[in-house]
Amino acid sequence: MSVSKLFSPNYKYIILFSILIILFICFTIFDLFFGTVRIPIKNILEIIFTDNNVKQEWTIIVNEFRIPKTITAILAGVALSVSGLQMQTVFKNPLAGPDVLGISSGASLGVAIVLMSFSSIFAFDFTGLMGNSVIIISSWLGSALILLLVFSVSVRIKDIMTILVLGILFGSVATSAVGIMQYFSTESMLKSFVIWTMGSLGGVTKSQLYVLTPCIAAGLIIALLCSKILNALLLGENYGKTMGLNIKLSRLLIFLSTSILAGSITAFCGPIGFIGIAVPHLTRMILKTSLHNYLILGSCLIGAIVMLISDIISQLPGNSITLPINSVTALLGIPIIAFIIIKNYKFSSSS
Amino acid sequence: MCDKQNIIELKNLEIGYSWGIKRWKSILTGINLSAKQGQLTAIIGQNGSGKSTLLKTISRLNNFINGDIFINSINLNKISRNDFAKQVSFVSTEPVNVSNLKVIELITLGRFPYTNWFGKSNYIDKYIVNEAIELLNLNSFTAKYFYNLSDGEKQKVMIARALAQDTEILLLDEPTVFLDLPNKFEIINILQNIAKKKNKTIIFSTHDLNIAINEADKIWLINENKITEGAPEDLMLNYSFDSFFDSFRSKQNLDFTFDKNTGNFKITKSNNLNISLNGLESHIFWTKKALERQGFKVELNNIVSTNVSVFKDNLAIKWKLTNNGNIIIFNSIYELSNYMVSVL
Repeated sequence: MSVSKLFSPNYKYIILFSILIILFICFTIFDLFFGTVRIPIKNILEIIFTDNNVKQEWTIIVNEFRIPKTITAILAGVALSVSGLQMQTVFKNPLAGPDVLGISSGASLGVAIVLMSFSSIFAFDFTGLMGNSVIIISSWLGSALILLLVFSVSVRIKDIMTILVLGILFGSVATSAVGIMQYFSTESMLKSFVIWTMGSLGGVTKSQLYVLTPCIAAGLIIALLCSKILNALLLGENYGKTMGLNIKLSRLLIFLSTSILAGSITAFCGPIGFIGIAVPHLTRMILKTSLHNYLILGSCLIGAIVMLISDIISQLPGNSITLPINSVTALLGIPIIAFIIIKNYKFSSSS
Repeated sequence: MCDKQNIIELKNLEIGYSWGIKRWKSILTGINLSAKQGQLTAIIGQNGSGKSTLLKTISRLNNFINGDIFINSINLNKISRNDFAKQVSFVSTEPVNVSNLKVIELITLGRFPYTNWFGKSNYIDKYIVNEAIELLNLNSFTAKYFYNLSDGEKQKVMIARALAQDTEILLLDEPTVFLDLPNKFEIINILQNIAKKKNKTIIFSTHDLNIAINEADKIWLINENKITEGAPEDLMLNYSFDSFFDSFRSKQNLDFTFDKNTGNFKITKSNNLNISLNGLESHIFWTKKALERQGFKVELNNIVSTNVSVFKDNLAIKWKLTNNGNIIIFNSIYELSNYMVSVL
């Protein structure tokens, strides 16, 4: 067999990616259309792409609310899916997601400390405008704390499964600490915390996007740089080592990327579940490959599409009601996961 | 004749595994071994004797406790991670479960130490991958998904991946362990081919004594925490194998003998009845084998009180058993041996 025939380029991917990109654009426009105020698509496109004079309040709604929310949805979908994909490969576990390292539990702990402990001590309402960034910072610090613990363990421990278990344990410790705080907090504080745990894409302002976007870009670039490492890890860490893979450096890079991606999204939008587990499976099923050069890009597109769909669904009741995004992603993600596990376990990263 | 160089040398090596933090459990000490280019070396030992640990130590998956390992006369610890991956490749026993990965993609992963940061393969990479595929006859499998293959095919793909790594030394941990007999021989045949054609040093561990004794150029025999090396024939003649089997027998409460003349071994049964056998030349060999399996001692030359003779009766082959004057005729070896086991 000739060498060129053996490695012939696969046009399948070009077609699939084109379809995904078209879907992505469609759902982006669709998502901009949905909201509490009904604005015709024609006018929305006019506001975005032209300088034509459209109704003042529509321009404000689109520029200040719709566009940031849609961009946040895209960023959240990309970040959670890519970090979930990395975790599934590293831990060789189909049920791994962005939160297996305890990142979202750590974030919850940070937020809980601020919302429930400090506010009761200082009698300060953190839910105001300035409080928003306090929540983001505390959430980041919380996940960074857990990440530091996992890092320090991961350079000492050989077996990757031990790290998985320890990550879950750290997460449980954080969760129970949150539980204790909930028990002692007042009703209003409890409510603001519970609302935070439900997640929200609409809370991110235009100026916050200037922080969130570079973070996600950085995490994504690290993930793309890791695609060769992740491919080698498909065969397990031992094979990786005998092929010259630096295990400690790889773990560090992959954990760093995952934490930046998932940690930032959790900080800005609250914990959003199941996207990180379901989308990588969906991507493997659609692209029918395990090579991360394709999977990462595929997860980005499919993750963004799924998140946009979730956002659209959360707006569906119409008028002023918006469903909590976390419940929508769970209702959407769990059937996908269940379907994949029951129907065809082959699509999971290990069987 | 000593034109072939020692590629691997182990000097006074002590191996083991870490037991908690900074505690070591030693398995084998004083290991002095070597392996030459273009040769097939088999590691033989009982379960838990340290075969895998030795292979993992040479492939740098495990640390060693004491001593030195030299690859091409360079100390193992002085070789960089990437250079080492270009010199030694490893095929482990742990099953690789990876979905949606095509055979060609898996084999190409073997080019890991050579490709750039993004893993893009150039013309040389593709040429070497193609060569590995042809050496293992995997041409018709390249577009298939790895998880759809049989165990034997999977093992061949994993060997092809190691070949794609283009190393002088190939280490394989029990490459034949899950395979049936034809597949076992195919794999060993392939390994021999690679060693001779590509002048590679191949070291593999195995439980298949027959294969090791008949096919390997050299054997590293682990017996009672000691390790000896030599051609299989050397070990046979200097009684190394005998003591190896002695320790087996005492441990496993199993009685078997090793036939030095044929290189085979068989389980011995306690039935000590002498039987004489004569008749048709063509059928004597297999009749003898069947009776010996049941524990009878078969003599071909002199006649004793219990005698079996094979004869032709109207084109059909019959077996005649004469026992203390009683004569019984059987139509097959199976009938004969069943009767003899139950009656005699």
